[in-house]
Amino acid sequence: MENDISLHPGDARILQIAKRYGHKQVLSGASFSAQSGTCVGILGANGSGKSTLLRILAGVLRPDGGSFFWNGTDLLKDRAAGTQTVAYVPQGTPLIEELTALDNLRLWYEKANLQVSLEEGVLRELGIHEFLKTPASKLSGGMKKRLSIGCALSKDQPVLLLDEPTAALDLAGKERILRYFDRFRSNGGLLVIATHDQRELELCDSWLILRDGQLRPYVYDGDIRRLTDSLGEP
Amino acid sequence: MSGKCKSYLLLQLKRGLKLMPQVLIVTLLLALCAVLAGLMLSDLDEADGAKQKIEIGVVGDTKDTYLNIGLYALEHLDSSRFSVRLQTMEEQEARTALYAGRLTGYLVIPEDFVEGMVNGDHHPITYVTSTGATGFGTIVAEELASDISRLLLETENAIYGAQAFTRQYIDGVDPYDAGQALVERYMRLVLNRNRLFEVETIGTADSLSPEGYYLCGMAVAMLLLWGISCSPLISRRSNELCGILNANGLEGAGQILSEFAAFFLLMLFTLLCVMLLAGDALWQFGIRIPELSALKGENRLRFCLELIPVGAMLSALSFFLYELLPGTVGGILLQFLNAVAQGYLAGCFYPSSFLPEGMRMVGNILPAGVAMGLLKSGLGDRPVLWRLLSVLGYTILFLLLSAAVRRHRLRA
Repeated sequence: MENDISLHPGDARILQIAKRYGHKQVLSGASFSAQSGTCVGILGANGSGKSTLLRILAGVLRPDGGSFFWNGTDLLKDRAAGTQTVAYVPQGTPLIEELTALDNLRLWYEKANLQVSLEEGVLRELGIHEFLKTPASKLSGGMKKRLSIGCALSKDQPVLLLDEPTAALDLAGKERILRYFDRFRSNGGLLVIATHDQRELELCDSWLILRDGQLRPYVYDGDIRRLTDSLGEP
Repeated sequence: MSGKCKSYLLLQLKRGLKLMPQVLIVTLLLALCAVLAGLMLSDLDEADGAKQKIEIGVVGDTKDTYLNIGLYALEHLDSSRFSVRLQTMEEQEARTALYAGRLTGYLVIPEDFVEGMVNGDHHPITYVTSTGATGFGTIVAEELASDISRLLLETENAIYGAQAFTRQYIDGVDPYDAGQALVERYMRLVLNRNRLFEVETIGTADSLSPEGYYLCGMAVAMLLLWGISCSPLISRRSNELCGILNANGLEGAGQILSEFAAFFLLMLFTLLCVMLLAGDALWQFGIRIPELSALKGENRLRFCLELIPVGAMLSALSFFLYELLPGTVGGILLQFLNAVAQGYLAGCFYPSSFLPEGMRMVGNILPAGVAMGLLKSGLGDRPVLWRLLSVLGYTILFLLLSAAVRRHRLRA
């Protein structure tokens, strides 16, 4: 059985997300729309608010205002629906380092689901069965990232938010993860990636630049110099 | 309990078990260091005590033979190890030595002091000391000076009184000879004393024996230092994980309770191991705690069980401090400073009766002070209810504060 996200297709509408840290207005009405089966790249200079935006969409951070509609439901208000719809993989490692990969998965999966997922679901696709008994602290960066994605997708959510997912990974690790993202999108999932990485940019179907707290459409054509000029200063 | 909370609790317990050997080794090393430091201090104290002298300078007119005999007598009066060493010197030299801490104080003997005394004139000896030298030695020296003045005065009164009585009521006896005989008899009696006083220790504080007191002190100090041993359990926590758990319904309070449960159980197990090892070591070295021996079986058990709420409170405090400063280096430093400061103020290292009144009051209301109070009461077989309630109150307070800090961090 494949990870059948196509059963839950949907449209995402992110409206007027606002967030202020003290005197600094990080997001001031960031909005965009996307459909399942696509990949959206969020670009921006360091400190522009990419991670903040993803954390808000994942429900980790409370916004000052705005909505995230998925098939008509505001996921920022309905948190139960939010956790069933959105999976989030942060830039850092959301793992318990002393415990094995299997233990980490136990935090997120129910026993029966875990077995199924390991045999024929998302965990199999990510190749996590290869290092189930290894403590997280002993895993490579790529393995940790795959495990983090596996933990995040415990509910087969159709929306996957990723914050610089392949940063600091070696080429082999990066390619393996990118292949999985491609499959996720092909299966009807919606990927939203905050990135600076060229390979991740190439994977995206649409691009948005976050500048001055707002999202603006951008067309990436492989010209890094033009992209750099467009990003501007944070 | 929600499924997520239960899973998180079980995983934290598992994590605690995995870190157990590491925590246990560090705790035992800390305990060993504490014991060695205690033994070293005890040895140093004894070595110092064996040669301890109260250094007092003598300034001024010391030419008089009788005065020199008196000073010699004062120096050799007490053959016990605590005695007075007198050094004749110039006043400027004495002042410099006093500032440098080489003297406890110095006596200024006025010109013609003895002659003045014989003539009935009043030329008081001045005892100069510094406020910085208000240690045990200074207090003893001040008392000594005061008592000797009183002795001299009373003796003088008695001699003159006896001479007057002899002159008035006893015929055929020369009052001067009678007075002389009285002085000789007095000197003989005094100089024959090898030891004029006896010290009996009836208890360091709260009528506990020193062994009993230090058992309580070391137990609290070890529990305070335990926060350092278990830093891997707390400081390696992933903030990203906490944020995602919060988004998935396991909020700050649930996270805190699960993490604290593992932290506390780990502490209990470590405490049990240390208690068994410490008990065995005390037995092997022949060190007996009189209060423990005096307690009946169930009260002895009650005392051991009192370590559990004390452990819970001090673990909750450590937990809260790590929540405030979650980095490994900063966290450990804060734990150490907390252990030293609270241990000192609560009288874990020195009896709190050595501290000034204000510091003692602060020490008593600090968590470590409350813990000491509970253990001392338990060991002394006295009521412990309100102290137990204070301990529980502190435990709840620290957990609530930890939850508030976590909640604030998750929202930031």
